[in-house]
Amino acid sequence: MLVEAEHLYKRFTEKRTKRAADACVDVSLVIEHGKTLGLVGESGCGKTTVGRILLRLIDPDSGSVLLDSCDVTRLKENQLRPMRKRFQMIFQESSSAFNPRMKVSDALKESLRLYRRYKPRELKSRADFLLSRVNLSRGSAENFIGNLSGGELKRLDIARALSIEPEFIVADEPLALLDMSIQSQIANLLLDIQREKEISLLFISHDLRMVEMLSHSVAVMYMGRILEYARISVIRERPLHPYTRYLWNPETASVLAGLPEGGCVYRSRCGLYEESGSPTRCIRETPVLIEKEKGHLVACHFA
Amino acid sequence: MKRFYFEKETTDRGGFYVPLYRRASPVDAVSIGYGLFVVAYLVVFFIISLTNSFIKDPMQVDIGQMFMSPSFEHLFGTDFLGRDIFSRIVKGTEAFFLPGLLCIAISTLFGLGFGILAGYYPRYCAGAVFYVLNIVDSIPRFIFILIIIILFNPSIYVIMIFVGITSIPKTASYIKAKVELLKKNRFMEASRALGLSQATIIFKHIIWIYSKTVLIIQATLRMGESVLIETSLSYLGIGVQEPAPSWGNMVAMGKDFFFQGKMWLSTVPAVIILMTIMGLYLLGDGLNSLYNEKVSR
Repeated sequence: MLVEAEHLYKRFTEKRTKRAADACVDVSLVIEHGKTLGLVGESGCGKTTVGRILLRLIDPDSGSVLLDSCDVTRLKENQLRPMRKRFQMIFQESSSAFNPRMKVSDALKESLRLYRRYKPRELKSRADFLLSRVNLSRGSAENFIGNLSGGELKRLDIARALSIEPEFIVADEPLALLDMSIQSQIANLLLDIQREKEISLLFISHDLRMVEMLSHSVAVMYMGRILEYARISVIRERPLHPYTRYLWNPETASVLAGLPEGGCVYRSRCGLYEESGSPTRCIRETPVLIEKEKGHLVACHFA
Repeated sequence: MKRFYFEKETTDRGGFYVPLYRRASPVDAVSIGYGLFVVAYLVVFFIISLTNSFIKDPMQVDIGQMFMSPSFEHLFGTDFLGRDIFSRIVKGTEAFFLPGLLCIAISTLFGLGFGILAGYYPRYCAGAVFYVLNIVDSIPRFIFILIIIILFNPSIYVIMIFVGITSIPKTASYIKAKVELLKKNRFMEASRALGLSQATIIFKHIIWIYSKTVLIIQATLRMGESVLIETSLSYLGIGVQEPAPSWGNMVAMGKDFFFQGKMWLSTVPAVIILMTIMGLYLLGDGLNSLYNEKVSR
C-alpha cells in the first residue's frame, strides 16, 4: 500500500492552562509499496502522533493522508471502518491496548472474526498459529490479558495486528520492552511478513541502530518536525544534519533545552550552531526541508 | 500435617486477574450459597404454581379442616378457612415473581439506554437526561406508591412498573460513570483502530465485559426490594387482594389468630418472607464483595 502524508499539522492544547504543544509541524512522508520507513527521534518528538494520524485515530489539524490515493482524513468514521482491515497499528503501550478482562484467545478470535469468516475449528487453529508465530506458548491462550507480562503483551499485540492481515502496519516501538533474543525474533518476523505479503511498514523507534536493521529509508524527527529524510544507506554513511549525527553518536552530554522562539528548533542543542558562532540566520529563518543531494532531504542552513 | 489457608485475593493488585473461586472468602461463599438456594426455591415454587401440579388447590375452602396444625398431609398446616398453607405459599410467589422481573427489566433496560446516551454524548444528552432522572430519583417512593394506589387502585404489575421507573436513575448513573471512565481508556482507541464498530465496543466491551456483574448484583437487590414492597403492600391490604394468595396478606390474615395458639398461620409466611429477602440481599452482598464492585442498595 502506498502511503503519502502531506503537510500534517497537529497541535495539542491543554484545556485549563491553554498550554499548547506542536506535536507535528508540516510533516510530509511517503512509504512506498512493500517498503519500510523508519521514524526516529527522542521521546516526545511526535512520532506516535504521526502514526496515529496516519491511521486516523486522531484527526490532524491540517494536511492530508493518502492511503493508496484515498484521502482518509476526509472520510467519516463509518466509511473508514471497512478500510481498517488494510492498515493496523502495533501499539506502544500494549498493556492499555487490550481489554484486560478478556482472555488471550478471545481477543485474538475477536480480531480474526472481524473481517473474515472462519469455522470454529479453523478459528482456534488460526489463533494457535498466530500465537506460535510470535513465540507465545499455547498455554497462554487461556490466560487473562491482565495476567500477561509486558513482553508477552507486546507479542500478543503484534499477533493481533497480523491476524487482520493488513497491507500497512504502523509499528510503534514494537521492539521496546523485549529482551534481546525476542527482539531479534520479532524483527525477523516483521521482515519475513514484509517479504511474504509485501506490506508497507512505518517503523517508529527511538533507536537508530534498530531502525537501520529494518528500514529502507529513515525520517529523523525533532520537536514535531522532520529534520532529515533519506535512504538508510545515506543516513548511515553521510548524515548531514547535526541532530542525526548526534543520534548516531549520542555520547556527548546534551541538555534538553526548551523550544527556542522562531528560527531553527534545534539550535539550542546544535553543535554546528555553536561552532559557527551563533549565526543570526539560524535565529531568524526557520530552515525548510531541502533536497541537498538526490533523495536526501535536510532541514539545516549549514549542513 | 498440611495446612490450608483461606486468603482473600482481590482484583486490586494492578489489574491482576484472579479466578473467582480463589477470591471468595468463606462468608461470601456461605451467603452466595444461601442466596442461590433462595433463588432456586423461588424458581421451583413459581414453576409449580404455574403448572398447578404437586400441590393442593390453594383456593379450596374446607371448613372441616380449619386450623390444622402442621402435619405430613398439610406441611405448614391449614388456615382459618381450611386452605393448605404450603400450597398458598407456593402460589404466593406468583404475586411478586413476574412483577419483580418486570421491575428489573424496566430499570435495567432504561438505565442502560439513558446511561449510554449520557455517557457517550455528555455535552448534548447528559444534562437533559440527568435533569429528568434526578427529579424521578427525588420522588419519595413509598408515599408515591400509596398515592397511586389510592387514586387509581392499580394492579401489582402497575405498581412494580412504577418501582422499576423510580430505580432507573441508579442504573443509569452507574452505566454513565462506567462509559465515561472507559471511553478515555486507551483500549477504546485500539478497538477503534482494529475496526470494531461503536456498538460492539459499547455492548461487548463496556456493558458485557465490564458492567454485567453490577447489573446482576443490582437485579438481585431489586428482586429483594420488590418482594419487600409487594409483601408489605399486601400486608396493609392494598396490594394483592384476598382470596388470591400472597405472603403479605397471609401474614395479615393469620395475625388475628396468633395469640389463640395458632401461630403457624402468620409465622410460616413471615419466616418465608424473612428468609427470601435476606437470601436475595445476601446474594447481592456476596456477589458485591466477590466481584469487588461497590454497589449500594
